Amino acid sequence: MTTGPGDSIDLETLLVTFSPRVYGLLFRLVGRADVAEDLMQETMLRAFRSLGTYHPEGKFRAWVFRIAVNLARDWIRRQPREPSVSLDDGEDAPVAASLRTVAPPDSPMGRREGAKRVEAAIARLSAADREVLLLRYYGDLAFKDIARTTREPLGTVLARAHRALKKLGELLPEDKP
Amino acid sequence: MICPNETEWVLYASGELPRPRRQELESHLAGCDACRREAAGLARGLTALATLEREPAVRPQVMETLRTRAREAATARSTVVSIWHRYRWVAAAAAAVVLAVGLAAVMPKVGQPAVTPWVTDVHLQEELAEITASVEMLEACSNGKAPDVASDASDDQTYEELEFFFDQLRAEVDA
Repeated sequence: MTTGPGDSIDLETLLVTFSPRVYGLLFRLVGRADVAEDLMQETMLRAFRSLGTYHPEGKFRAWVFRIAVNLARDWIRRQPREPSVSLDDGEDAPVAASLRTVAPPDSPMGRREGAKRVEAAIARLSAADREVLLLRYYGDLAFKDIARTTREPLGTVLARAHRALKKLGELLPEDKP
Repeated sequence: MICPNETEWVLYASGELPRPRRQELESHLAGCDACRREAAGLARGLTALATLEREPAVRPQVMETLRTRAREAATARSTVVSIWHRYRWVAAAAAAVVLAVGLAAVMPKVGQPAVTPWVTDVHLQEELAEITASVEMLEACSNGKAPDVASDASDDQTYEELEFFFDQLRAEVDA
């Protein structure tokens, strides 16, 4: 993904470049494939409609992912509230321990299991921490761009990333000295 | 060196620190077990994150629907732009006319004396009151009744005199 500010971009480039990662981000944010597909389409259409008028203040990529994040936030806000479980509340120790298990991480099964454990752990992060982590991963955004995207101070964004990465890091065994 | 704070380790693990600062932190790591554990934990977090599929396949039907919708949006936009280009002078002229009419209605007329509304004109009101009284008197006379307003007129005022008075008033109003 190399599209930066000032690059000319047509519809097909926009779709091919951004659709998979925007979909990946949205799926992790909303947790439903059908909703992620709808929101991805809406993101792409909004980005496409605005191509002619867009004046990049930051990176074009950050702008597209900001649209996606805002749509996801709106969708989440419209959902009925459920009691949330967060890895931040300290009650997740048994869950985290149960996620550290079984097959060798280098085997195909181990990789699948590893990915599932990571998915589960990400799903249990607070929404704001998850957003920062996923923007970093799917959007490939620098933290200062994430701060601009989420409209939070850089320090807050870094604190969120620190918390989320520590939680994910607990899923993997520590290296022996 | 004082241990860097946790957010700086995030930048370090993510490769976002400038080279001089990065080298300082690496030197610090060599002699600080706590920071080594901190940095290693964040690096493991990034490794765990990388197990997720970064570019998951989007269903072909979804992509095709998206392409169709985008093309429709592009067509609609170009149609609007085309119509605008074709009729923009008409629209501009219409807007100018509306603006001119609006201004003419709102702006005071230059060089013309202000027109006093007729209902607030004291003289006209007096005249109308006299006309009304005269008409009532004429109607009373024509019906063969003695006018009630006779006390307001001179005793020798005849029907012809009242009619003459009425004609005068009407002429003044018309003028």
